[in-house]
Amino acid sequence: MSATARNLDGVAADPAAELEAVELAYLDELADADHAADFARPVGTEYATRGARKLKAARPNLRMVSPLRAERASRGMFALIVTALLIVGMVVILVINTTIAQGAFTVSELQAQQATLTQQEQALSRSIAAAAAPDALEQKARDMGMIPSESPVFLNPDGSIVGKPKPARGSTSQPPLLRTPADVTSAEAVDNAASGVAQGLPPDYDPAAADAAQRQAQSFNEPRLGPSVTAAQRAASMPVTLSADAAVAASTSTSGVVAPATGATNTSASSKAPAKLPHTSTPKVTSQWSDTVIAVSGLSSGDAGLTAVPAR
Amino acid sequence: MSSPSTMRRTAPRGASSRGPVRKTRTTHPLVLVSPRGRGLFLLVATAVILSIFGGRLVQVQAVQGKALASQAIEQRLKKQTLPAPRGAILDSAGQPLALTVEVRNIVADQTKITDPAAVAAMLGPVLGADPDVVAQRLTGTRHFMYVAKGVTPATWNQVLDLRLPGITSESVAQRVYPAGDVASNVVGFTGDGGSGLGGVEYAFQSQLAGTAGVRTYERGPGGNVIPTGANAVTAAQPGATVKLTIDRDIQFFAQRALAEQVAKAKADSGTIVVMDPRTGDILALGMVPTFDPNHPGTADASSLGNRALNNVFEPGSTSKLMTMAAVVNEGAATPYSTFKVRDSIKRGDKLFHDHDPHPVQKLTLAGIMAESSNVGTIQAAERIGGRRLYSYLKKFGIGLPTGLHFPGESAGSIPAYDDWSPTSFPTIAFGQGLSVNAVQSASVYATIANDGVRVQPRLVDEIVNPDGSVVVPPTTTPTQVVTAQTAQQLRSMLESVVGSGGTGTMAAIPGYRVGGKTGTASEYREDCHCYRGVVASFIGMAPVDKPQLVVAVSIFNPRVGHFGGELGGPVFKRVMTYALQVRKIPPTGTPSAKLPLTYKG
Repeated sequence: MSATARNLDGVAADPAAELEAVELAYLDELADADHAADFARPVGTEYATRGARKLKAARPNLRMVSPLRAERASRGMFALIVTALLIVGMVVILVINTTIAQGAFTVSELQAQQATLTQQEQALSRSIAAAAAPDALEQKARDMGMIPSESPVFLNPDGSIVGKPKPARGSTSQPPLLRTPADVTSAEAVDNAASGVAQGLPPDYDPAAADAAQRQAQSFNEPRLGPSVTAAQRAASMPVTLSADAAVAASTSTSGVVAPATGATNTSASSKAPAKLPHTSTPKVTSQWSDTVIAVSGLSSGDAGLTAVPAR
Repeated sequence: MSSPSTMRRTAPRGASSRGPVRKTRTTHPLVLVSPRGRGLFLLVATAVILSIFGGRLVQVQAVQGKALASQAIEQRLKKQTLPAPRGAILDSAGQPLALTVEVRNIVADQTKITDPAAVAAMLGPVLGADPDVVAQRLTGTRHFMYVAKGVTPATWNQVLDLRLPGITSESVAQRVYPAGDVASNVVGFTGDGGSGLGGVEYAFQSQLAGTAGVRTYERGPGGNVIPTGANAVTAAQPGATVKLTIDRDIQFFAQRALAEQVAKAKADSGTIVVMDPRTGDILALGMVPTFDPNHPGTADASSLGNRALNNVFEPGSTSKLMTMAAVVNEGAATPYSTFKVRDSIKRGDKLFHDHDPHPVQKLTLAGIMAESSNVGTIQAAERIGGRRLYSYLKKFGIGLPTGLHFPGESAGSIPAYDDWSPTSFPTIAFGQGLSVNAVQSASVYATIANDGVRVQPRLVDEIVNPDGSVVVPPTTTPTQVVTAQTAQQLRSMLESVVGSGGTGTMAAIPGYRVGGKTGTASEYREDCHCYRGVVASFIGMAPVDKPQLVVAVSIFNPRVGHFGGELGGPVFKRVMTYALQVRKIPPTGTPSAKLPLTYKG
């Protein structure tokens, strides 16, 4: 601070002392700028009074103005730079954090999208598989009025026929003996629901126990739903479960199988149902093949339709 | 600078930044002491506070550092198991027999549902369930109650669109068998944990299951992922795909044809095997009763296994093919060799009968086969003797595993030659006193069909790993059991069985040369340790001059009908007809052998 310099009343001194005074002034200046420097003041004052007396005699009114001005100017600049750096730094950090967060959001968005697409793909391939299942195809073909060919007939490239063509006979109304997965899927949800209701599941639900319960309560809910009724009816016509004593014959070795759970005993309605033959309905005999030799052979999911064979 | 520090100075402070110096002065005696004392005080105070901080710092960082750090990581770090998708099981054409899909279990928090009836009315139609049942599930005080299980993601999205509070879902992997019970006894089934419990699902569990992955990430208190935190993913290794030799279409057709016949005959059970004799590939392996692998729990436990491999029976007359093959291959007889055959013959202490009483017949070897004469077969077998017959039976694979390594497979049995009693030889010659499974008996016919070369049956075509590498299960080297010429002669004899005068006329397919053998064997029952009921079977091949398919049908304990020809024959015919079309096998167009069955003289 300039006050110190002006108060110097000592005699002139050597240049070293003068420098010392400048230094002191500078120190003072700093002290003024920073209150923490107050602690150093008593010591500095002592130096100043002693050296300054000498200085005053030789060159009074010594002023060190310009360095202070420069100091002030640079101090302002310094503050400005620091502030600017601070702001820039903060902005950069903000941008980086935002970018990272944005990236995380994009990742999770894309993952969700991937999951959705995977689900769609699975659902589609599942429905394709269900529609392409042999029994579903067979049923569709019968619905269209098609019947299986009983005589394999092949057409040579030159138009000649291999095999003995004869009219196919059969019923288009024959129900498939194996039930379709579609029936199973729609019935499934409620079967599960039924098991819970029937058993009164605790809040800490154990899926294994629930499934065992489901098996026991399989017949509980079946007749309640349309699709299930179809499944049950079909099950009843299945020769799989013939009669009560049919199960006795099944006492042969099944050691390779780990039985799924307890309570797997078959108590479903289908097991008690008498065996029904699929042909009991009046067969609709079609003679649509009489005028053709090109039999649509087989009702397969493959291409076993009109079969051509290479010339031999 | 603060004003008290300038008090001692004589001159006023002109350039103070705080404005003009105050003129009024107080003469406090604290002037000198105050700055030093206060400084010291602040120094000490700061030092004390900083030491406390420092001490705490050392305590937190150095002493408890590790424990706290791991505690913090534990709090933030979440380990998530990434389940490995189970590999699919495909048929020979790549059609799925078993798939794993993601499904949803719909869960209700009953406490959050104020009006169960209204919610159920909205939920019911979407789930395809009775709203009353759904309402029951929604009423109560439980926080977690399943409303529906195994719902497709699409259905769940529909539920989500209803914006019902308290209705959530959990994602689970579900094993789906799109073809239902088609090939279910081969494919097997899985349990609640998703691991295989039967069939291929069980046998190839380690390949199908894959390896679960782990995702480790840091998360905030709200459960959100911390983007800058640790995030490591060990991807799940999906399971391998198992491709079977089964043809899904033939399998379905065979299974249904068999099921219809078993129902018609009011039989206990039945098996059917369709084989390609040249490769040993099993194209269909069906049995009745069967089960739906989508609901294994609803089936009788005895239906879950594979009857065609796990169940052995005495083959009866179908086994005569082996006896004849041995006789012809040893040069002891030709199809034209002549035999005077009575209707019974005494060997050891037993009298062996033909099925029906008849006067002495003059039959060729082909005639013995066509009429399935027990007495004639014993007479023919005696030309080579028991020891040689035994060695041929072993070469045909009797009493040996099929090599399929199927869970629970039974190899059947034949008593060692040294243990044979005087009645063993004639009994075994016509197919009693030894046991086989359905695949073994089909394999015998496949050997004759394949010009006497026995090829190991195959059920698993290949295992395709997720990285695309293909593993083909090893098979034993094919063995020549009888010469190609013998095999050809035997096929002609089989053709005469199906021709007029034979026992298998119901198996004939117009336009094709078909050969086969009927069998009506007494069934040995484990439950009573006695013979009760019969096994009616028919095993045949087509086209006889160049066989490409072998079909073996066995029907156990029929109550309507009795003979293998009348029960097995029609099933053989239907399945063979269908399989010939699917496999695009045209008739060969050659005339049938028409061997003489009887002779004059």
